[in-house]
Amino acid sequence: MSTEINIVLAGNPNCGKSTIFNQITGARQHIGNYPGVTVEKMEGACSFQGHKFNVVDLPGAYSLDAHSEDEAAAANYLRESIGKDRILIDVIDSVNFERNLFLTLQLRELGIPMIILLNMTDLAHQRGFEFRKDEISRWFGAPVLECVGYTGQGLNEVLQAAIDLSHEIEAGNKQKCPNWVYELSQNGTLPSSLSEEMLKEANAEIPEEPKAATDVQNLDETQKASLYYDAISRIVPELMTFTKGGGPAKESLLDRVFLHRIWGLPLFFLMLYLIFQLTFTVGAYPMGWIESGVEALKDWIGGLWTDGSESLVRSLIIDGIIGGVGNVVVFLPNILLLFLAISLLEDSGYMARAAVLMDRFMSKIGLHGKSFIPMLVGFGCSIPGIMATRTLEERRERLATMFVVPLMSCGARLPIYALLIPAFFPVAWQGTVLFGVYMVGILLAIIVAKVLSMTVLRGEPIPFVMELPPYHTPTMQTVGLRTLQRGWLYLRKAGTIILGISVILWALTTFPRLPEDRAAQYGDDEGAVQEATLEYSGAGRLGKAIEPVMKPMGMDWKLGTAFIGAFAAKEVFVAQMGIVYSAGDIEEDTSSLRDIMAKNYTPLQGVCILLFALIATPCMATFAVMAREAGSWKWAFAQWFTLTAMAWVICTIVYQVGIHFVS
Amino acid sequence: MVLMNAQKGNSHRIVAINAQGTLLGKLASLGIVPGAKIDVLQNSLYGSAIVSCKGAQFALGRGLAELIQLDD
Repeated sequence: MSTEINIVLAGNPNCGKSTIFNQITGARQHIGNYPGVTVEKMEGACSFQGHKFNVVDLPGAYSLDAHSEDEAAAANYLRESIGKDRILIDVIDSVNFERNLFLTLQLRELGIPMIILLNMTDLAHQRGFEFRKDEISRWFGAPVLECVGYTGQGLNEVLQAAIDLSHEIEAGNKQKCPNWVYELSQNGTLPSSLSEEMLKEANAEIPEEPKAATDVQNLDETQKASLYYDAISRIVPELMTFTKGGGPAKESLLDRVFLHRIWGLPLFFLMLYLIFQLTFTVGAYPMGWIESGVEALKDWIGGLWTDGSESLVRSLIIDGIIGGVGNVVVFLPNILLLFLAISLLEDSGYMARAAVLMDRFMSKIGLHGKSFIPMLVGFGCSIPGIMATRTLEERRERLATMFVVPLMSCGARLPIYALLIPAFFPVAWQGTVLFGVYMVGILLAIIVAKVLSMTVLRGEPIPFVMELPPYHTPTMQTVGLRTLQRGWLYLRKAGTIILGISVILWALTTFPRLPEDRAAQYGDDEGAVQEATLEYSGAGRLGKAIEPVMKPMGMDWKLGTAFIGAFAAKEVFVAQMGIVYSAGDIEEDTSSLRDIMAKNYTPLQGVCILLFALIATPCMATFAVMAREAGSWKWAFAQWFTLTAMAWVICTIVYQVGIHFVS
Repeated sequence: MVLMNAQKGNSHRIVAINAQGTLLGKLASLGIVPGAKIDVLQNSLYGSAIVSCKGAQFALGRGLAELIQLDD
């Protein structure tokens, strides 16, 4: 007989649920979203003993009284699962047994058929924990199994237990809710001494709507939690024994290093520095391959048209679609490497420590210790940076973090700096100027975050509390899968948005087309024709239209046109400048464009261009992702206009003050 | 005594938490409730106290560490 079995994995954060999920389903996974929220929904499938398993990996939750978007999504899914054909697997971090039982107790109240899975028992055994599985099973009325998630040990038995349980349910044997769980839940009581009576099946079922003890005894959430924890601490001696002497817990050796009062923070910055070095140096190679790949593809497709038969379609495909999407794909190696490093830090348990180190400063500017992760990712690309704010529980902190992520200078802005800095500054200064640009971005992010936290996102400071999971060696499967999944999300989301925008931008620079007779005026001078064509096009006209706004910053319509291009993707600025100055194929030779820039603009104007490229107009993909993640277009518009207005004010001040000093 | 003033290496029991609403609920879901035993692992780290409670480790910000009342 072959049937489908639906499994739901639930458990505390850091209980090793995702590792188990990855072990069970392998690469057969699908990331979706829970309706209405941005919490990722992990689904997967596998086959075992002729049965097909559909597996859902819920976000980690400490309790069903949701305190974050993640917990709310998990709690909602679980409540929906009541009475449905689903089997719940409650994954317990056995090292953290007592705390994990709190959720187990809440899950038992829901009445969903359940398997209790003690994970990481190897570590627990090392620490001298011995579990009485039969007793746990009796007290919670569910089968209990052990496993070691990262080696996969014991997982086949789990699937077998799920099959057995589904047969039991088919045969009409419901799991019993023990008396004590019912009494605790409905009356808020636990007998003063433990007895067999408590383990008998309860006479009634716990009602679906969780009114429970809160109504009966007028208990608030905390009092109820205290009651539950009290009950758990009383039954734990029945469920497990310590074979090694307890004594107070000690700080781990690694924490003595990583959380060191003096060295913790420098060590963290050193790690960040190494990650950046790795991302940009190692990433440069595959970037080069992708660039040549894109060029080869352009040539090959371009070759399908014979000379003289070049059409609009050819231009659309080569310049619009392949060029535009290529711009995004080229940054994939950098982003994958950055994600790889971040996944490693996360999986090893270090990330939580870094958040602790950063919190003192971050909380001063209205952000959370965890906010630095999205900001870090923002140096690669703002899009995954904004998506990474999902780990922040407080909406206020999340919005503030998203708002400032575009001020972290992304990888796409680097080509602009690479063009401009050597054009205007002597070699000895170039490194410092580049560093300065990044610093200005960080400084502005700090200011904007602070201002937001004092104005629109004002509120009581949220006290910092965070669990520090035990350190462990990252598992390649978990890290690898997470990196690839994030990379794929980036490609898919950014790729589809960019594709659309590329086509729009292509149309803007192509239409209206320069009339034949006007083109003829320039004869064979192809560069001049290109320049005139651009000037005549929508983008050129827009550039001219915004010239009065650009002027106070010392910029002309040509720069305006290039910045309109940069709105599609930052690095398009360089290509646009190449076209307005008819510098020919700038990809082959940037130095000629650099000379042109140096000839046409002063270093002061150069500084303004750099600043404007850094601060103004988050690209369209960022805009779209911001709207999605913040849940409203209002925020995307607010961000776009605030940053652009700020750029305008700063550049205007720099230019207007600057011209008095340099003439 | 509040947690902020507790010495590294000592064990205490939480007497009261001077907070309310969601914060209290959040702490409760972590097992940080009045009556719980906590071991102070570090208390000099830029204001964050590192404690162990029911087998798990937590970092608690300075603001929070001042709200948690311990026995002496």
